[in-house]
Amino acid sequence: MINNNWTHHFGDKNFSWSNATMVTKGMAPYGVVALGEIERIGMNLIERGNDPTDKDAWYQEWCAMADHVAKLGDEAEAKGRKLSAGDYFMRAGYYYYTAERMVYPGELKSAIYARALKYFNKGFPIRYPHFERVNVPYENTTLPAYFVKAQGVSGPAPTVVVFDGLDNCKEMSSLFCGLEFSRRGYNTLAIDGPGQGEALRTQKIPSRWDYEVPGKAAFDYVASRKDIDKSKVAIMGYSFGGYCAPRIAALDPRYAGGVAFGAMWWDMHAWLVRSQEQMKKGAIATSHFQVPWVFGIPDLDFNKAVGLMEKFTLEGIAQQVKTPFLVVHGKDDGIIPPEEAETLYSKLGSAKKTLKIFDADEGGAEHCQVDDRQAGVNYIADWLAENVFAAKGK
Amino acid sequence: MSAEHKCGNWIEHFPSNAKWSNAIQIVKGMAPWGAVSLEEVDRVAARMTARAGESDLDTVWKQEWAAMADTVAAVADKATAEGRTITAADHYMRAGNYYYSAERMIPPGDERLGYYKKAIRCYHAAVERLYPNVEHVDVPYQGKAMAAFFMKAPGVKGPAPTVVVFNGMDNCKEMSVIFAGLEFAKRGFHTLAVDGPGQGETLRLRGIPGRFDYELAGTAAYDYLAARPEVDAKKIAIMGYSFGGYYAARIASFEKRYVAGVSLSAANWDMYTWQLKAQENRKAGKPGHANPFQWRWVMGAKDENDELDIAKKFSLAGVAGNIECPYLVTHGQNDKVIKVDEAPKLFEAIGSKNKQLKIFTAGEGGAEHAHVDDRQKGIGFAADWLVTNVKEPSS
Repeated sequence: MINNNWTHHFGDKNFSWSNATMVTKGMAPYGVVALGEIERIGMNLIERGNDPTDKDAWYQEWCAMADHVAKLGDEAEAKGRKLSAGDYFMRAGYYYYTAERMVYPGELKSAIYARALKYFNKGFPIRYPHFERVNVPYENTTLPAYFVKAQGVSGPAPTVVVFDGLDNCKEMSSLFCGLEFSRRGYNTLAIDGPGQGEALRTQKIPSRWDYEVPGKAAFDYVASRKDIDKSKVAIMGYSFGGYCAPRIAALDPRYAGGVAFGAMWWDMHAWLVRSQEQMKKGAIATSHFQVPWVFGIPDLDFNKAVGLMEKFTLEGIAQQVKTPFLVVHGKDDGIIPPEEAETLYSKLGSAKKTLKIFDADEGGAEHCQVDDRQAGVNYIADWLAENVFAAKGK
Repeated sequence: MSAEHKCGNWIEHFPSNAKWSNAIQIVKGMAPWGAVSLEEVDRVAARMTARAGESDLDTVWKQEWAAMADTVAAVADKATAEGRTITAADHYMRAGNYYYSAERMIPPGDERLGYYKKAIRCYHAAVERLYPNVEHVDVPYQGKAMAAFFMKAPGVKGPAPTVVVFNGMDNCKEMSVIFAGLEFAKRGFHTLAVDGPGQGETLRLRGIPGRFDYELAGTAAYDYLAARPEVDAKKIAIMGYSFGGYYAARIASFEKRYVAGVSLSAANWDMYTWQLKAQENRKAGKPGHANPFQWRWVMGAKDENDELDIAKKFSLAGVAGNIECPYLVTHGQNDKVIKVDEAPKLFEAIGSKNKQLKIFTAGEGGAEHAHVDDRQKGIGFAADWLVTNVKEPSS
């Protein structure tokens, strides 16, 4: 019997699928995915060989369940059962988004994402009517985001700007950060930055090494709102966003503090160079096409992606961070080892900085605490209260 | 096994131990409300599996759940001391569910009571901090009182429709107020989640056993609600889940002021034969889903004969025909605790013109006992049905 089914759904030999499934299961505490349904998908995938290079099996099984729950949602909606429909639409959104993950960029990937977005956009207004869908001005376009207001707060409130990682989206962070921050009296701007979620997929906006540009755009946007306290805006990124957040904190000092919810590889260039073969075999979490795609490399040329990666460094940048900064990491992180978090922490220039490593005995030891998201986000929310928001004169 | 009936780790966490699989599924069923951590549940299970060769498995169960509960409760207490109220509350909620799970396999007595007290200390600390719209109330009953939670639907003005929820053999208001109450509240219903006679706090701390004539408890709950200004007394529905599927039908048969009823899964139609078989299985050393002491303890039976005499009275034959209000019976196709065949027996016997039977299949999910594998699916269905039949009836 598999004892670690929760974190390693497909066993150790298929980390790619286990990791991607864990990301989706990580949404369970918010009631937006059904673990019984995920289990049925998993059983079908195991019957089909449990092979991480079989991308067809992956997307077909996730899409089949997504189609099924989308139909339940459509039927419920037709009968006027709006709230039940909303539950099913949310599930369909996450299952389509998960299906899309392994598909090579192209028409099929775009079509699956379009379905994910369609159902997210049907589900969110029903289940979370107070979430505001906003467009954040950025260069000559906009970045899509959810603004989640602080609960029960009348005046300007502290605000957290949250950027995603390589694979995730605002439809995840708006719940796992937004809901938690909201009940503590903070607003959240959960944003799909360049190279992320809807910004990449629908608007074709690739990622960039100088992430302070979207970081500044996000600050300008929240500063234009009456319901935010400009002196209490924190910047946060999770997973790959653990690169973006320190960079933004260093170069846009208007942010009062920052959080790397999972540190990124300190030397991303070296990581990409040594990971190429593993990526081809599906031996690690990141698909081979992912980095070139996210960074908008023509023809998804991996070698060009490797070259570009030389610019993705926090050396000489992290030292410029002066605001309070938190680095959170999981001791058993199978994607980025905790030593990377120690490196980032040691380089940060902040007088007030915290390194928190979650170990297996306390839970949340996996990548970005996906195995126990609440434990990670609770810690962050408390840290922000005590080090960034309250400190500035409450 | 056919493709329809195959189960994985989510439903059969311990393939060779149905009692553990069922009991852990009840804990896991609280995951959609963030009230348990599946990572912690998985660790508890892994530790129990490592000890599955021990002779006293009930002790293994108790120790491993209690150990995790102690750990998590300590995190909550520390967070409270540091003023981290919300983090404390989340951990209290987890600890409450884990202590309640630990308590489940312990024979009635001081040790069991000790664990229960730990459970409600944590549960109540969580509910106070997380759900300010929930009141811990006493519902007057036979010169005593049943313990209950009243959850107000946020943002509702004026008297609102209300659902009374009774538990089953093992569960408690601290679960139902979350998994049913929060969903009903979204639809504008208040919820009275009651530990009725033989249930939760009312059995454990107040010594009030279960009874076949549950309409007494049902009437008490109705009277209590009718006196509250927030409640629309003409729109109160009765619901029971798991074994409460019997109680709800019994109450709807006799207390006609309830305007609708829901059995969120039917109970066994022939309780006498069910208990007789349970006794035979125990003598043959065959473990079932229920603990051997459960029926006697919950019902306050004196001995084996008394167990059977009480079970005989738990019959809806000649009773369910009296139900006139709209009534919903749900059941899971793969229910391992109460077979799906029991649901049509209840459904056929119900006298109402407006009645519905909904069986959740494995293909659609929610096919396990009281839809615990996908609680939201079962509750969403029941809540929509209540909107149609109680809140906004067309005629």
